[in-house]
Amino acid sequence: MRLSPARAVAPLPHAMDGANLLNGRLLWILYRHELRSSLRAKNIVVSSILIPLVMYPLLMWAIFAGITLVQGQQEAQEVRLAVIGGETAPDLMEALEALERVRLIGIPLGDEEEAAQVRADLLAGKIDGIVSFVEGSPEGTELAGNYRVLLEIHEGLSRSRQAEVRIQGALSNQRTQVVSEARTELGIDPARWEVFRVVREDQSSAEDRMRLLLSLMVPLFTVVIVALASFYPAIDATAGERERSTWETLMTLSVDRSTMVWAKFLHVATLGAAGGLLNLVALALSLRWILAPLAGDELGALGGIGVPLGVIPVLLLGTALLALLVAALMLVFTVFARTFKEGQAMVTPVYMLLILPPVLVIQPDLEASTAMALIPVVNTVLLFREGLLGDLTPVLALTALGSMLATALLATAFAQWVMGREEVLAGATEGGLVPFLRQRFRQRRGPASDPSHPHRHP
Amino acid sequence: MAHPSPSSRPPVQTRALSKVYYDEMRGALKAADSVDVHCDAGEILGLLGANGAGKTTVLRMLSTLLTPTAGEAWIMGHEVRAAPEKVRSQLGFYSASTALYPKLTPRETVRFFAQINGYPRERIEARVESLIQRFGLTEFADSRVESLSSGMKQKVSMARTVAHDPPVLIFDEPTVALDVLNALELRTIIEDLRTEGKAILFSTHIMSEAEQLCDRIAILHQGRILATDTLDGLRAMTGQHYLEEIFIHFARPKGARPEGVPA
Repeated sequence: MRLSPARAVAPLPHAMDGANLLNGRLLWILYRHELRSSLRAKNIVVSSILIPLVMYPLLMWAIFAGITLVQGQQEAQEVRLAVIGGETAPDLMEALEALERVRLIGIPLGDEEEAAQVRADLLAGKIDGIVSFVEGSPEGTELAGNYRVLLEIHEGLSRSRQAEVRIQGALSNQRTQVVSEARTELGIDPARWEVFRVVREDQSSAEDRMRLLLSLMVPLFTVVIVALASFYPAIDATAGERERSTWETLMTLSVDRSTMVWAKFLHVATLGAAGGLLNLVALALSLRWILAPLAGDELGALGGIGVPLGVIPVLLLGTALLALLVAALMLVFTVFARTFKEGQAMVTPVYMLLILPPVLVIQPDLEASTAMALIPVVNTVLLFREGLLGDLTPVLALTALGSMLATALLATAFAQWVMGREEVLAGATEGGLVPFLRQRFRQRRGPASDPSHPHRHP
Repeated sequence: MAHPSPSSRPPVQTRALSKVYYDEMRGALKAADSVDVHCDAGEILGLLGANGAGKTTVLRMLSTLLTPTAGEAWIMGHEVRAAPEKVRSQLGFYSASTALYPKLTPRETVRFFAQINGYPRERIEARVESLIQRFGLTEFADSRVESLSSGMKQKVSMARTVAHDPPVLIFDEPTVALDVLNALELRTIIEDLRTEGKAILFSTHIMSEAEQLCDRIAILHQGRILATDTLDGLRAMTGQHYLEEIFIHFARPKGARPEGVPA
């Protein structure tokens, strides 16, 4: 039996009644949905959560392990040394023979053929240095009875440079011993002999050095991590949805387009900010639990690192504002992509552009200025750098934060405008952002064409 | 123009609905040309046409995925351009290109679509459970969609389409990628939905499917509706028995049509 229309189809009451503006409840549902989907995708969890968390611990461990390994290897390494004419300087030969882990290859003076062979071996890396004892000098300037020691090395080989250090040390000790014996023999007062002594004093504290290190690392890594943490979510929320054919499903929901776009934007910004903040937390924990024990008790706990407490809110706010800017920038590019690969290709230049300013600006001798604080991303780097160094002035902080806020709002508004276009949402635009803008510009100047499908037949 | 009140319209109605694509190489292309159709509650209206006839374009305009170039369309009295969100809240759209979220479970999927499409909050959990049971999804309700077979995915798709219990349902070539058994099961579900009083638009290019399922059939060719009637009405109109012959009768080039048969 067929039901009558009046009985069968009562219109549904729905959330959109009387509200064309942003709907908070629907935005929350969509936002949670986007986040849940992202947090179940392996590549997003890795790039937005895992890498920010483990990067610093791994980096610090790798640096310390690397340094220790190299030092250990260098100390344990045997130096292969050819000595030409060693019989003419028995004292020096004795000093060289006393060195540990040195293999001496003696070559009699005048054996030109053998000398040529060891020089070839030096270039080939088969030996690490050649010591030749040469009596007198061509210029005749040396004192009678003196001789020169010619040390030949291969500057390009680390093992050869290491040999040089050890030989120089042995020769220097030998000279000091000879001179000291002569001085005692002649009865010369040590004070007259020494004349002056250079005393080295490091005025920087461990805290200062740590601040400097942090001011170089944190701005660069924060930008890199926020960009990385936003990269896959931005692609997944746009090109990924198109590739999986869920984009059209999304478009059939009874939600206004602006709410959809806001949900995507906030979801990407959240993951970007989460990545950045987790990175900062990981840094703090790494300093306390990894770097401090490795560096000895000089650094102590986190409180002893010397980062002013007042800079922490600045770092958090800066990271959040940066995440908004990055999310907006990435989405306006990826929204034109139809596949994940296309999305990656479109957003990679944005990623490279984002990490370029920190690389250029982290030079410690670059002076921060108010004008520089107006440049997007550069302002983040300056804010972080000056904050960590303890040099952040209120004017610079306000300029940088104000400029970051303004840039983030502008980028967000632009992203909302681009992503809210019917043709962009319908996937009816060819190419990327630039062709789209060109087309819009042409449409304004030329005759009107179908606004929903200006380019192509689906 | 003064619009009649929503209650006086059938659940689905279009008037001179048109869609023109602009192509830089080929100029203006009419994908839908002055389409007039309506669909009543408890009725399945079939849109029958060859590939590229404009079926998908018409259905996408009705579901607000595309903006009409001209004409009007109403879903439960809401005009598609004036109130697209209200239109979408009153319909369920199912097509091969509307996929499921692979990382969600069937239960989460149905709950999400019910919530977002405005189903009353206090009844959502009961609705989710009832749909899980109705579509035989109990065993897999908490497995991720990506791990389900294509038959199960199709059931989840159907459950999410009706999650908010919309009065209008649109099926755009729903059986195109399904095997015989799954297609049969889907058609049975659609018939049940008709019995429940839903107004259903069903597009297909499979003649037998239209014959079995549709109460009325609109023959669409090159963007235009050539005829709309019951199968018996079309038979009487053309003097042909089988739908395939009827379709060919209408779709053959002008001039080749026998005299006395209205277009």
